[in-house]
Amino acid sequence: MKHKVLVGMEVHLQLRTHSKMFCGCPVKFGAPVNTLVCPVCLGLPGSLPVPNRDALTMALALATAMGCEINNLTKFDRKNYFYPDLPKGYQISQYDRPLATGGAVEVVTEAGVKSVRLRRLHIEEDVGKNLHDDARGLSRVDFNRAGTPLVEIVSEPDLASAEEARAYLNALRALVQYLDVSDANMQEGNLRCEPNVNLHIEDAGGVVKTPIIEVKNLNSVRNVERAVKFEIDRQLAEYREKGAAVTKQPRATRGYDDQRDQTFEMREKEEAHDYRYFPEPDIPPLSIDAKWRAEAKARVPELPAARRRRFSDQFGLSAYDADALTRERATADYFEQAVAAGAPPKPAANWITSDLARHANDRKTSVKGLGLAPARLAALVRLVEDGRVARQVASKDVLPRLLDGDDDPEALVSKLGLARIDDASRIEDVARRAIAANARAAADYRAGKEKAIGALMGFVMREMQGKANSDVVQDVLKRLLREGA
Amino acid sequence: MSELWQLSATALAAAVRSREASAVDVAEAHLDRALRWNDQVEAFLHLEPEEVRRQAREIDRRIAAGEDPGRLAGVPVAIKDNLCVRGQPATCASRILEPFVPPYDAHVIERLRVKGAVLFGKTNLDEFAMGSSTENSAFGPTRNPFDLERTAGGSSGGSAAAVAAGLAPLALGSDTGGSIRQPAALCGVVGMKPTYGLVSRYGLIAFASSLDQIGPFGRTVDDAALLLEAVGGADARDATSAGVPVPDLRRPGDVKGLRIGVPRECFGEGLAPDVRALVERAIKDLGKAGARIEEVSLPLSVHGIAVYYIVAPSEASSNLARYDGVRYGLRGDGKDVEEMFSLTRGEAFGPEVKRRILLGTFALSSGYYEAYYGRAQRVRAAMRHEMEECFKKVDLLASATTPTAAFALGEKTDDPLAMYLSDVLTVTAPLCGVPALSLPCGRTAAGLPVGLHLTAPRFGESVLFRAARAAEQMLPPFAWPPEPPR
Repeated sequence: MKHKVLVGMEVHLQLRTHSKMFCGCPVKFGAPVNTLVCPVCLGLPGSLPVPNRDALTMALALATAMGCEINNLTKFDRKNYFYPDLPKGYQISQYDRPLATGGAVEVVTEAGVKSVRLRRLHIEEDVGKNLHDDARGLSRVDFNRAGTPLVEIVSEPDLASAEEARAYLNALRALVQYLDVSDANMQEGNLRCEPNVNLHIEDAGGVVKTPIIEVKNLNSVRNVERAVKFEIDRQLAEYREKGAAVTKQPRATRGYDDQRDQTFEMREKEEAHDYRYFPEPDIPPLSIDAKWRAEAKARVPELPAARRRRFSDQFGLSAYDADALTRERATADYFEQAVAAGAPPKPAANWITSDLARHANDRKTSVKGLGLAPARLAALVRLVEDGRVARQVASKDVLPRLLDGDDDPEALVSKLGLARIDDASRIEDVARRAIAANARAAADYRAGKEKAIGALMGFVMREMQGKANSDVVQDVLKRLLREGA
Repeated sequence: MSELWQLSATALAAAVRSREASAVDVAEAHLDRALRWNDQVEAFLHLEPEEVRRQAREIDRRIAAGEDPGRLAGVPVAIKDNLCVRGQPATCASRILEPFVPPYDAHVIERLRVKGAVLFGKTNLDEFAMGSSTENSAFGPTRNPFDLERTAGGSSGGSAAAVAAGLAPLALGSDTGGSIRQPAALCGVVGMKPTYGLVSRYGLIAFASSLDQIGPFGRTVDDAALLLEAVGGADARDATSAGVPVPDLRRPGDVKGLRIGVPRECFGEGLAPDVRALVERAIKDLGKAGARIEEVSLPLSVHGIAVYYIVAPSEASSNLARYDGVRYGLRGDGKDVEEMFSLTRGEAFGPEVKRRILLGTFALSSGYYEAYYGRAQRVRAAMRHEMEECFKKVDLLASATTPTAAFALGEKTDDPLAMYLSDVLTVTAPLCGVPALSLPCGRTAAGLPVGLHLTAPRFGESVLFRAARAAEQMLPPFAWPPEPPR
């Protein structure tokens, strides 16, 4: 069934300011309940909000980085609704004059590079957090988070797959980390996102558009990808069952259950929400003048997309590798430092995105956080490239020791006798044993099955702990087989 | 010789600073009077004599220690109960805030403490300042000291009555559509609403944020000026603060050459003949003193009440959403959160507050926003423009403050529209953000005070007070209301 996937993304990003959006309380995660509060963020009678200029500048820097059009005149609006975690009975947000509109984010998947258009970027305040004590049947509210500055970024429905949804979030996270405006950590709730998913399905009678589903409760990039994938499949199945009748269903919100890896219907109130937006009378409209724009622009460093392109051009890396390297600013810096220390770029990229990334993941840190000096990595990469140690040996035996504190790859290699063995005479003996022990493979090879040599090579490499030069091993085996050993 | 309670704030501060009288003596004189009168007038919702004495003793200590006690040294200032004073109740005359004690001082309260004033109790108002008679107070109405069967006006009726009856020489009120000037007129005192942004609203419990301003009550123009000078000026905690200091308001001057406009629209059918006669005479007196009196027209001002009753309730519907029982104030029980919200708000708000929340919620709702709130904002912008144009031709506007003198308690409680219309002459100034002042200009045959209303351009406080002082000198001096039965 021919269909097109349309995913739009609504992202909320907590800005890492010193103080909250409209008061002087500190922005901090994990403080004791209700200790980071004051009359303003508690919404006490008589208190008034004063916008945090630094938060606005950070949001402007982000808008600049994404090529958004910044409004000359922006204003705050009140979004009215009742909820216990909302101290004032309204959220100060932006409605019809957001900080910025338009712009785009470049995303990279294995299929290539794609530009995702943005609809708008606005600033608002976060709400508190409801804490439920089910055992005692009580609920409490922690207002530490209330008033934390949030940026909301709404994309056009340009994402055409779950992979692109994931890539979009990764690109956005990379961007804000480069700008140093947010931790963008989904587990801690610094970054929250709600994908909107629907399908345009080619039907005999034309195009059937499934109702737009907004998915909530997503706490990791991986879950976003899984939830979008599930939702695409679910909507397809629903269309197969009900046909064009699906268009009569309203747009809806579904939650995501990561235990079962599925979305579920969320009970919505019958009445449609009417937030009764109106201009916030406590805050006059703000004019964003040239000086302020320049200040925001000065905060924008070389961005991931530009750096990715530069890495491709300068070092001949694929877009995919360059993207993996540039997603974290510190990793990209690390790569450049290793290259500067003499590592050939392509192998260095490979070492960082495979070996170092895997160790970082195991140790729950970043590439930089592994503590391996870029010059050490460069030395190791050079040893491999110069043929002095086998890639596998370097990866399995040398690198872990370097990570545990040894600091000279070359000394390590000679001390442990890990140098690559290129001498055919030292290989021949093992090769003979390999042929003797694998008579069937040897016979197959001689019968013309060239691939059968793989089993023989595996035997030799195993016997020699991977240290043998595989080209030499292959030559020796072929010669011996030819000679009828 | 005058009793201490009869002295002006200016005279009291001078007496305390020169140690002719102690702050404690001043406090006792006013406490004695307030504790005797309050049963009849019901001006105060809370008055803690011990707390008043404590502050007075502190002033005396500062003077004895040779410290500068401030320009309001030892002067009692009554505070409308919608202003936050740390550790004292701030009920807004509403059941919903009855248990609420703010943990912080409003900006104006901080300023008063610095200037050596003695915070003298919290005064009655219409619930959340919504009303024109204090009959919407959940704790009973304030009475007019000149006739206890009549209203003191509202919403700052308690502050106006306290000053008129000599219970305090000064009081702070808040004005949204006339809530300072209307009760000042009905109680025969001076009441003034500053330019929007001149006085910080930090700590003023909001009714309608784009209109609310804190302002002074006094028995003389100079006293009102003294209080405004003390509380006005920049405050970083209010984003709508204009960030400008209050000019010197007590510089001597006269009205010679001032152009005073008399808006035709303010002298229409609803104006009571006795009020009209007194106000026209006062304006004529200003002319005799050298002002150029000319008729002007503000055609859009006739829409003032309509615009006001869209804008103010809309903002109020949102401002009052925080009273949900979650964090402070009364809480209704309920089996779930929804029920808790509706029981809290359903039981603890009075009928006028509910009426305005409903009006405002409707005016902001999707599908009606443009027809109501959107259109009201556009008319408001046009009114501001019309006012600015008018002030290119004249320096001040003069009219009556209210269409009638004090009406009887209960007279308008069944007719909200009639009640709303008592603000018809005062709503224009807050809608346009301009300063305006009411000062007494005589009494009706029944002995009820009548107010002359002067309006100046934005930040025209200097000329406003100068003209008011000149008028005060020509008009009959402040006369005390009859003493209450012992």
